[in-house]
Amino acid sequence: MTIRVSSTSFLLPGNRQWTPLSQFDQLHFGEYGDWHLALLSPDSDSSLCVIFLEDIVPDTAQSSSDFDAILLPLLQPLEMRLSRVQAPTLIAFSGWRNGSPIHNARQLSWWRQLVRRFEDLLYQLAASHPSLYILNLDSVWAQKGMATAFDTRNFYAARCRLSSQGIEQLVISAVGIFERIRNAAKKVLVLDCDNTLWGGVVGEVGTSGITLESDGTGNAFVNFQKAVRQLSREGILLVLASKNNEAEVWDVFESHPGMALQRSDIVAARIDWNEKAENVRAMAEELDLGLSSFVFWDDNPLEREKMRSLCPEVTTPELPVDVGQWPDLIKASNLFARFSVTSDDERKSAQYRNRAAFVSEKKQVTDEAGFLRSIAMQPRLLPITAPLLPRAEQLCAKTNQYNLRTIRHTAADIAVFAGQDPELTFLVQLSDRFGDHGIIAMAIVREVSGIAFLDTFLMSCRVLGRHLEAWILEQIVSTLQVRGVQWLLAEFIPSGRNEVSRDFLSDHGFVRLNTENDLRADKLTVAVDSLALKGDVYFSEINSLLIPYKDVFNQL
Amino acid sequence: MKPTLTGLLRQHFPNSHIPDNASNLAVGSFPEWDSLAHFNFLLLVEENYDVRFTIEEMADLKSLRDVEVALARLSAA
Repeated sequence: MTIRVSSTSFLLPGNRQWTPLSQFDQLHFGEYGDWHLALLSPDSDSSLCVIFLEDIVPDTAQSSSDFDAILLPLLQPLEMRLSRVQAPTLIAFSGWRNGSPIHNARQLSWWRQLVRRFEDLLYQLAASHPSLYILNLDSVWAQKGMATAFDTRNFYAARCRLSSQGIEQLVISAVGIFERIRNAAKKVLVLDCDNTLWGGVVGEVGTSGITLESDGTGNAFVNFQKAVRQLSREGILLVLASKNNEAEVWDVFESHPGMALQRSDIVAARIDWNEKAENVRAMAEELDLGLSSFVFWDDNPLEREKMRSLCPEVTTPELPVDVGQWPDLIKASNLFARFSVTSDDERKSAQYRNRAAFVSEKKQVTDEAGFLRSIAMQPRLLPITAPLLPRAEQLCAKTNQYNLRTIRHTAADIAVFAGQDPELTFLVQLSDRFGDHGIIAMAIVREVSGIAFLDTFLMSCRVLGRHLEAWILEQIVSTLQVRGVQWLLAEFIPSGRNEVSRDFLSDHGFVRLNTENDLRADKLTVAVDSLALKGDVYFSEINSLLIPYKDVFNQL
Repeated sequence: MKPTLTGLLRQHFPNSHIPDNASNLAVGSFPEWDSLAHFNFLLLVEENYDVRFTIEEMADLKSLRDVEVALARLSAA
């Protein structure tokens, strides 16, 4: 992959500060000042375009208050690229111009108004072009001071407006954005309690003795909790891994007036004397999330070191001893930062809390069927009508584990299947004692040469462990029986993440098709050939399929 | 400990052979050492030695020896 780097100024290609970005992707620097040509280039590389408005707004524009007349022509090359290239375009811009604060003391200066309008126009473009990303460099550089970012000597000696530090900050921010385009943000924050959520050891000083109040260091802990609570509201899952007596920790949550976090904000917890790495692994299993989406936050350097060595997949940031720095540190961190927060993200904590409660209750029962009956599951089959197409497409795009073939059907594809066979192109909604899980599964069955084929069979991992897959199969089977179809064909395409759905096939009576010495294969060959199946093919006679746990569901 | 100028030169031009006694080397001694690479090298020296060259020095310091002399002067000042 290549990132084409261009600018209105010179950016010192080959400077050491570019290394983090060149390690991320190969960099291709254009000629000095060729930013508009780079945007118009016919290639389809990613683009980092660094714009200094000072370089491109003509001096003669100064008298005009028609900002769009000045700015829209400058944005034309960008608009042309966005309409043509799908690869990411990162516009990093600076509207910095030295000036006396007096210029802006009574009204916003002409220059500041122009910069503000430029930024507005960029965000308007971003709203209609999902490949456009925007980086306001002035807010990046302001963190260390503009004077450290710019260097007039470099400008007069080499036409580069920036100092090494300025380039460094630009590169760090750009890497963060390109990295997030490629890799999802972290999903889970693992928190220690003593000296992390509050000052002091609750087991020694009791709930009333911990440091957690509106003054001094106690206020730093409160502000850290508030920052963490905000993450939770944006869909980050909070879990506890603490070496303590459990009752004492929950007593703090429930009765200390300084707590910004509530017990209901915590999705899972392991409060005991076991190794934290073991506990984090157990919680990852409970939440059905990979360890690589976990971040471990603990004041104790020894615990951090142990987590790094025992669970290297977990991200364990080094933390300053001064807790006063933590609130800003976690707010400014890229670890959890996403480009946007959806209403689905906001509901995530509750969904995972429900799932964790389900898993932990289920673990304690010996009579699984009895337990499943007791949670009053009500599945509902929904034909895929037009309003449900976006959800169907999203399930195809996002479901990785319980997904037989991981074919990312688009809404248009799904609409075609639904048109052909509305009865066997459906979504499934589920509610039970743990809440309304929403629309969480989907199946598409196609008939080819008189044989039924399981084109799509997927289920969100949020509802695993309920045997809902058996109920879905039962719906398919009863429809096929009415139609007099004899065989059901299925394909498992290993994706590296969906092994759990191969078990679904063997657990429900499907057998692997062996075309060489199985006479039954002859009947299926036409269908297998016309479907051009390349994965592992399974089949079963409809009447031989096993449907366990039939009586645990309440039919609507 | 600060890296030596020769060490910095090797870091900056990892694909070029830099002899132990490199004082006589200068911009143009090998193809990679062009004026842009030289400018970036002087910035690297500034960072590592915590000094700042003037715009005139950026233009005048051509060889490793020139840089050595400038550093000696700056550290004495």
